[in-house]
Amino acid sequence: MATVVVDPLTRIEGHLRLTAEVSDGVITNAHSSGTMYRGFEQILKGRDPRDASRITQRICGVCPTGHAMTSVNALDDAFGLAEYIPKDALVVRNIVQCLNTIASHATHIYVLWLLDLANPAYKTILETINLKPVWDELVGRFAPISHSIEGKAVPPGSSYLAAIPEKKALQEAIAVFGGKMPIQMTSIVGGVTCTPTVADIGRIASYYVRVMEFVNHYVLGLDALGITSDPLETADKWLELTHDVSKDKAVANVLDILGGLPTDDFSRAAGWSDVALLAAFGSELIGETLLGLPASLKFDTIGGYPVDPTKIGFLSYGVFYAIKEGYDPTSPKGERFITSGFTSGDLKYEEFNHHNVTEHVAHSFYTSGNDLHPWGGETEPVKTTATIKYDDPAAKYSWLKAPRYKQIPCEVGPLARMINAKEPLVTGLAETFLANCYSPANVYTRMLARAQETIILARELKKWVLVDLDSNGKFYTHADLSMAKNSQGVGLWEAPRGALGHWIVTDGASKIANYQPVVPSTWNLCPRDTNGKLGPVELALVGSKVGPVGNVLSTLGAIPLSKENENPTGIFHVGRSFDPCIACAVHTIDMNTNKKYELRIL
Amino acid sequence: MTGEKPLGVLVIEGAIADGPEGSGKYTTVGGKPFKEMVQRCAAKASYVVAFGMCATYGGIPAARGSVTDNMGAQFLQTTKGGILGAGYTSGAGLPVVNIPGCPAHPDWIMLTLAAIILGKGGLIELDEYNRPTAFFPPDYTIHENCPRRGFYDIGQLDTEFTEGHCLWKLGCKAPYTHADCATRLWNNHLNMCTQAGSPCIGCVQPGFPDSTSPFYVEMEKVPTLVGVDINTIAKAAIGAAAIGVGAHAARRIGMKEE
Repeated sequence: MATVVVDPLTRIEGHLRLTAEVSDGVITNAHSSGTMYRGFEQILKGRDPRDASRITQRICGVCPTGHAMTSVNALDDAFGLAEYIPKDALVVRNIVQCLNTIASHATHIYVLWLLDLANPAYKTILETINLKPVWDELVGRFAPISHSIEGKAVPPGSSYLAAIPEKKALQEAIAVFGGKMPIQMTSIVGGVTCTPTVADIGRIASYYVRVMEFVNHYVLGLDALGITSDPLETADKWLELTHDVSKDKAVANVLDILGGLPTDDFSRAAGWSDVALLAAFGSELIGETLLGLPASLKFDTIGGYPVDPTKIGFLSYGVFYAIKEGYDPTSPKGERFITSGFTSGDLKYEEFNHHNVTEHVAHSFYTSGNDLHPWGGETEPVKTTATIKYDDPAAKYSWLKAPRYKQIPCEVGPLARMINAKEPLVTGLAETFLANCYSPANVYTRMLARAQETIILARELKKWVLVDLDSNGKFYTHADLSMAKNSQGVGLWEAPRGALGHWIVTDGASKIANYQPVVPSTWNLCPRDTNGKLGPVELALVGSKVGPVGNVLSTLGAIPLSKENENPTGIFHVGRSFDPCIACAVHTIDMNTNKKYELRIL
Repeated sequence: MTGEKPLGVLVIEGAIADGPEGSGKYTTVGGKPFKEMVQRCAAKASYVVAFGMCATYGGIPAARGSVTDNMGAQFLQTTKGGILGAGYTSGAGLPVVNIPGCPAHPDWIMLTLAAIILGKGGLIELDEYNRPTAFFPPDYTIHENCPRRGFYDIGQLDTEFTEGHCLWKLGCKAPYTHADCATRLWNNHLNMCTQAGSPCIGCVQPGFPDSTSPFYVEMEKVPTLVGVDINTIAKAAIGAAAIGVGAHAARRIGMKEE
């Protein structure tokens, strides 16, 4: 047995360490450690509650908007204003969050995740099995800057290069309403501070058109397929085939498109869009079994869970307000554009209730308050140096708490949202995997759910900007500090990478008495709880192949497995599929040989 | 990074934890305290640039209530010191060059790095908080060129959001805040906080957030001004503005009476 440590695999707020025990190329045990503590909870105490929405969005520079919106939701509730927030203020909040979610998904897909497909190991593997043309496409599209293979510099990929300016354009679009981005300034208890004009609407629409040109050509390839090259109808046309139909039809339509593509020409012009390449060659079941391709990268065989409702669930708090005045801060089923819900590990849906959320600290570096609901939550860190260590899994080993829903660890994020919303394509794929003895959640469905959600949001964004937003509307309702005296509030929302909740309690002077954020990465990357249940990423790593050769070529054995622990793509793919943050340098240590390797990943 | 090779420019992001017990273990990267990485690299660097409010002055992780002993590279809020100590100078003989802001403007860091790369590092003029005066002018605040400045001058001071005029009474800290936001603008020179109707919250000021909060309360009503040295920083600006308001207001009243 070997122990492979990846530290840091950074996440949104800081730094992540993943430790995996490996036997015969398969991960047999895993531990996830957050290695930074800042203590926003203590810092927020005693402050003006309105400042919380500015301070908490600075928890994270990647999805600051999610924190700002969640915080104003908690404040709207604490000030007793949620039911009075003007409709157009809610539309602006939707637009700003939606732009941030699309930008975040695009960043994750193109700048953080797909470049792992240009990992040199896949060159060797794909060339060995006579799929060099597929490798040429992967490296030609997804290679990052400063990439080299076998000592030779590789130019940045076409999709990677094209995606970066679109991220910048989306940030600019947010700044039209938000003043600047990251850290937009417009969301505030009572509504928003900006007063959009017709010119602002036109400006956002122009950003929309250029971003959807990228989606049309690079992501979906609808131009090459002859479906449409019009950026304004790109989302509609794709969703007509994969979303506005039954789940069986959605899967069948995607298989039809993929099945119609040539297998002697994998170019973009031939119809092999980025999504098509990933959808076909990313899955053993879809690519090899159903489409008859000679090989795949088998992302559907890693990052899954046992089909056991006691071990895992899928949670969404719901996001994007209904287009009307006011909203229900408890986010009841069906009210938001993407609904709240809890779906068990064997795919049974139930209605969400935030009172079922508690946080465990048995293996987290906190000294008190186990299994508490966040309104009564405590965040007291250990204060002795010796207690902070990451090599004893029986003790405390992470700064992340372990949130649970009815005591069940939950995956959050696009896949969980799409499952709870019963989105036809993602649900259809998940059920197809389940029926064929695969985990319905895996690296493959996690990435396709993120892509599908992006298109669904793009269509709705167009409606919010061009139909729902009234530039003559009302954007703010009066909020007075005295409204927050001896109060409490809950903010339930979805950051791009998953369910985000803020819980606030105020005192008689309208100051913050307690403030507890429970963030998506805490759900996904948490350690074990009091009951010994593994966190989602820990559970997803167990059973995954650690290296690319063992995963892709397990039956062929044409390439030796001896170097697998030096290039643990299994850990990279699984860990990153949950959308943690940028990883600049990854250090891996094989504890058997005590040899240290440094790899440039970005 | 083994201590053998000199570093050209070290750019530090993020607050640096000293706790618990001086160990720095509240933030570890690759199994080592972040604090140690900063100290080791700074010892070999020709230039050290701290980027963002956390790395410069400690920012929110070092704000009131913090239990982690987080601090900036060479400051703890408004006090010189920090992880590297008040006496630290890099190989080129400069203290840590501070580019504050939450977030900092990309131009501020790129143009500072460009100056260093072009061999003009020695020409970077720093203020008392070691900010380049090119971006953070000591005798100039955001207020001077705020797009809503005209409303201030004629006394149209909003008391409710979304009314479209001066945000002073809603807590705007632009008259105390030294940066070129109003002329440079953000996101490809597109917009800025006050133009979007949001009061400036002073996110480039040493001591942020304590020195500039509560954010939505008029500065004169803020009970304690931790760290904001009004006498040395913004006296002239506030004085001039107050006279301006008085004069304009009087003129308007006079005109109405006529």
